[in-house]
Amino acid sequence: MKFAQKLALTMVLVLAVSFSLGGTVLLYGIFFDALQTAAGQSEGQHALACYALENDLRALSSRGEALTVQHLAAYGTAQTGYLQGTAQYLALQQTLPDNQSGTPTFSTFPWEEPLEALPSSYRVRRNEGHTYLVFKSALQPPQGTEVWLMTAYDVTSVFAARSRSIWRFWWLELAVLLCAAIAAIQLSRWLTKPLQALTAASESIAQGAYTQRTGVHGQDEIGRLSQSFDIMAAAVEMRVQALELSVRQRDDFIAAFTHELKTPMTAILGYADTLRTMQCEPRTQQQAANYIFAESKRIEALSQKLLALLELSDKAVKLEPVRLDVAFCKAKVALAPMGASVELHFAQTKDIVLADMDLLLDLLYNLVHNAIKASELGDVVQILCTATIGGVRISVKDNGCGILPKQLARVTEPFFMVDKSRARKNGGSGMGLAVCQKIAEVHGTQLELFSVPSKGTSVSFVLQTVESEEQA
Amino acid sequence: MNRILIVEDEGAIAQLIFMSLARAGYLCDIVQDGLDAADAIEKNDYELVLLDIMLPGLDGYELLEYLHPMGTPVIFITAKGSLQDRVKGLHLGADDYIVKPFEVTELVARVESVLRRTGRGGAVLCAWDVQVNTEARTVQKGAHPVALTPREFDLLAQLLRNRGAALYRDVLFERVWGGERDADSRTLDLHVQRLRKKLNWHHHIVTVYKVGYMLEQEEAS
Repeated sequence: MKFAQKLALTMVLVLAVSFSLGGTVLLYGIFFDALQTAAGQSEGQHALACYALENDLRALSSRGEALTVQHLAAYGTAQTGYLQGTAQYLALQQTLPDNQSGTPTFSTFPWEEPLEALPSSYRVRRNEGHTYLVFKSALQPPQGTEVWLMTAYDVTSVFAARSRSIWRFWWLELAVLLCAAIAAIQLSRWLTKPLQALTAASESIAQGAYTQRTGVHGQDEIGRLSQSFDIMAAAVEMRVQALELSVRQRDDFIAAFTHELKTPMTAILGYADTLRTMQCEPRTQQQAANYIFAESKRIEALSQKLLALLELSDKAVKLEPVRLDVAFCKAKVALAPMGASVELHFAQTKDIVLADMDLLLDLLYNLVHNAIKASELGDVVQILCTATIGGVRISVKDNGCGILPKQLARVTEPFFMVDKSRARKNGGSGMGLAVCQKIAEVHGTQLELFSVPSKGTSVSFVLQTVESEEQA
Repeated sequence: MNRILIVEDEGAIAQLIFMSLARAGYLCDIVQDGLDAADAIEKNDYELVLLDIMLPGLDGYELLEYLHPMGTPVIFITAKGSLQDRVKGLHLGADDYIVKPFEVTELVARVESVLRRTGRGGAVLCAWDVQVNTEARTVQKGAHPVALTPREFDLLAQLLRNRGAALYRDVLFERVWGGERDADSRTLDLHVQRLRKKLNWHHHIVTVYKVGYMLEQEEAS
């Protein structure tokens, strides 16, 4: 059952119960008042009848006559004349020793009324669609024998009025409840409309429409709920987008990686198959083995770079104060074997930077290595330091072949190579700058590349410096 | 003799393809970039071009557009194995598509099948006066047909596709008999004996001591 229906039903139910209770109390109050009035009137009439009978009996006694059944019957008949047309009944009974049967001496009652005292002043008796109030009184005439006088007064009109009122009330209640039900349904629909909007929004979000919002405004509880729901949806949307992006990046990365693996794999597979299939000439054999060795080396280099990249992504790097001149010195030593073909110029510096020494060396090594690869024999590769806001900019500058602008944007992508064949000849995997970029990110900076084709390339990054007091 | 152009910038792979196709009796040229490939196509008439897609200079797709009007069949060799890439290649008019990493035997089979399909031979392997039709699986010596069992035929085809190379017994056995491990490797010797007899090739199929068998290269006459 919908909440709106429940709400409407509850409203109608409460209304019905309270209306019925109130109506019932009101109706019965009116009815009892009317009955009391009728009873009072009837009691008066009964008292009058009693008085008249007592008078008659006293007169009979004063005349010295005995009370007989005939007299009572005659009295009853005479009295009945007054009662005609008002649907009232009269009964007289004498409790004589010879009249123990219990049949009344005189009766106009259409039913048999037993001779016994009533617990209250009257009792209600229904007969053939009419309602009567019955009164009984025992008189003590001077003759000694007890005489009972019973009267019944028709009060059907009071009860009929009650029935009519009840019927009228039922119809009224029905009409009122019908109207109330319609109003309640409309009202609860209007009240729960924001809830429906909320439900629809949450359902479509559950089905993947993360941009969906409720669009419900207001200061009440539902309005506030909708607003916090919208905030939650926005947060979810952001997370999902971030997640999708990272999944896509990972997929791209894996695709690029497997693509990168396929070429060496083909060569290894093919040459190994040749070697196992036939006995080739020693020269061919050696050539095949060389190819297998070289391609395996390539895969190994690739996997090492990949591992470095993954480690950088996972591990939290602790940055410590590092003396730049010491780092430069170490880099110079590491680069010595391949730096012979070019002139390496390291800037003089006394700066102390926040960095991880090993990673910084890796970064410098990779960047300088790239610069050397791009340079001709005897060219100059410069490592420069310039102060910037909050840190020092370190640039590696060469006068080599440069990179085309459309390729420059992609060089930090994993596996991207400007010149595929040349990079492979030099043992490149296309991962070097991707690792550098990652190292720069770990240090809270980015690689900035500037290049003019056939003029040279400059790669720079900014490291945070530490005040020299702290060093001491 | 079928001339095949190999366009592949990876030296190792180009060399591998060259070796495998040369053994199977094809004459091959290697070029390592797209522009050289265009020149080579211009100068020579090739029966088939094996084309890498990612090439320096002109890429494979551009070369294909250039080759298509000449009617030269093309097989793409690439690491791009996704369905879209295949469909794109085949749409542009490539005759086949080989995805790295591939096995050389598969490459040779594909080359043969494309040559056969485009009516440029490939179906018939020749050695001396023996002609082997790999499509109809029939063998003719001179003008007379020779009846071979399926295993004998496969063995002959293996030898013909690796001429001048001493093939190891177990690899020969594995390729012809497949995974049937219950077959005795003596069976191989038996089949070689029968081939020699049926084709009268007593000297052409050479037993290489401790290695296996080799079909002699035909002396250039």
